[in-house]
Amino acid sequence: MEDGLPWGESPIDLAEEDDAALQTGWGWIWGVLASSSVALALFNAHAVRNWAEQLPPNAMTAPIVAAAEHWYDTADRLGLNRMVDAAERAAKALRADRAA
Amino acid sequence: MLFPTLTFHVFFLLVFAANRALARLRGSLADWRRIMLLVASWIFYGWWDPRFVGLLVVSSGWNWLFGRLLANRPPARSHARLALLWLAVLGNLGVLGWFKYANFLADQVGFSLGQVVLPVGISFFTFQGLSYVIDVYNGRTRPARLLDLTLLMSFFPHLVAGPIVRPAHLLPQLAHPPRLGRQEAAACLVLILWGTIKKAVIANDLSVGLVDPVFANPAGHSSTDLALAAYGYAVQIYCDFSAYTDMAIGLAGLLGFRFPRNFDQPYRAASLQDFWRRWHISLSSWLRDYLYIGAFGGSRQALWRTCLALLGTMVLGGLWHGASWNFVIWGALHGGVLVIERLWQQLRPQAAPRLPAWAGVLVTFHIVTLGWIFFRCTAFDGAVDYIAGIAALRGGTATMATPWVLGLIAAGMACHFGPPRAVQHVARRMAALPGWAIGIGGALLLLIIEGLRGGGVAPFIYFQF
Repeated sequence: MEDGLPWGESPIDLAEEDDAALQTGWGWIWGVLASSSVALALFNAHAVRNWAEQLPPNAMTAPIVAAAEHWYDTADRLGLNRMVDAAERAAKALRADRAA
Repeated sequence: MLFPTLTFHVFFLLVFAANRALARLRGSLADWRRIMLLVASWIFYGWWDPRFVGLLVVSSGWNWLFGRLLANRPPARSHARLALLWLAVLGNLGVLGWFKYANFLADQVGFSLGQVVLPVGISFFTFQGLSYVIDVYNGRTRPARLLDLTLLMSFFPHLVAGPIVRPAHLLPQLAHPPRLGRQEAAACLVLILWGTIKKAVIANDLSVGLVDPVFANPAGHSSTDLALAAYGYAVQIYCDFSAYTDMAIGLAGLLGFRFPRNFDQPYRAASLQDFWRRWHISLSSWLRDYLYIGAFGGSRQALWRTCLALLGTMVLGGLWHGASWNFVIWGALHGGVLVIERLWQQLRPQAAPRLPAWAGVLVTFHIVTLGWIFFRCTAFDGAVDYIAGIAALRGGTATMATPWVLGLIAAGMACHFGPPRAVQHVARRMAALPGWAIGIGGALLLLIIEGLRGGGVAPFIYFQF
């Protein structure tokens, strides 16, 4: 009869952790998610703009699109888009070899 | 809603926070966590087409009802129970048959049914439902509450493209409060990040830059390009599908659920039997347990019947992927080679030389890649022309063989020949670092992926199944 997935059959089974260790995971992962979300919100205006551009164009979404564009421009002025821009340029250069 | 998108990022953060908050509830209040996960899963599924949430609910209700009826009807092998099982199975297959195969069958007799829309992930949740009723019938799992079964079938990490999680593996996990160790959490993050790289960079770019243009116009490309695109598709489909299941396992893990491994470096398999122990493991073990052994009798019978069982299982496995003769041929090719391997195992002369392991890997990879050509082409003639194009050794420069494309293929293959448990090794090291540092590092990696991936993310290949 059922007893759950046997230990070791999941790729996330690393070690049998004790109860104390099993509680520390939540705080740790909160730290990861919070810091990565803040960093992505600051430095990934591209994703916000791309997402807004895919919204159906109507009166409700227009201010969202405008705000996303505004944030993209502001981030650009502050130099926050540099990392994604640099990666985009590198990828373009790598792909450009195809046409050469 | 696709995993590596901003929309899903926000969705998952909300679900994660709610899951953690509700995980503290005990007793009957603990149900609220399951209810939240169920509603979140319906929102996730309804993002594509809200109409089909109803289908998911009806399918769950159907299987729950028959699970109860089967559990209330001892003894184990009475005719009434068997009739109930057949009814439950036919109900599931009827839904799958209508949405997935009705147009195909109608086409074969020259009849048109109009447009039957295929609900995303129907093959996956139907198999979940089937395994539940069959397991209840065989006493391998207890009948579940309606809430639990509906969540099992609808749970968003595995809903649209697997892995197919057995009821006996997931239902008991629903009954316990979620626990998350630091190392487990780190392993989940590694899987999510690695899956994002495989999907957003390797699979997407190979698709756009190599596979799609060559498969769209095989006659316009040299034999070298055709072969390169076939290798490229082998890497693309692995990176695409394994990325989805890596992310699914990681996301479920962060919510406190352990999903089984679904890929294990499949292209290092030294035989086709070995390949199916490493590729889409949750489907191949499903087919083995419920079809090959459960329906066809497995290997405890005469050799010719075992061979027929193997062939039948693989042909049906091919048909599971879609209503097309190409999938049938793909399944038959795999089944045929498995039969040859089985016969060779049984009838091989003692003195016959053994193939070195590296040669076995090479041969197996090329058989699998040959199968992928049928899998990728939309029509049988197209696949035959494609293979003929490779065999013709047609001249011309290899216009698609750029350093970038070759590098992507090499990267996709390299992960097959690295350490088998690299994810776990990296996770152990990550778990020793503070959470904020991992968060910043992960964000930097995602920013680089954002720049590398070009425009948007294509849907996962296995969504169509």
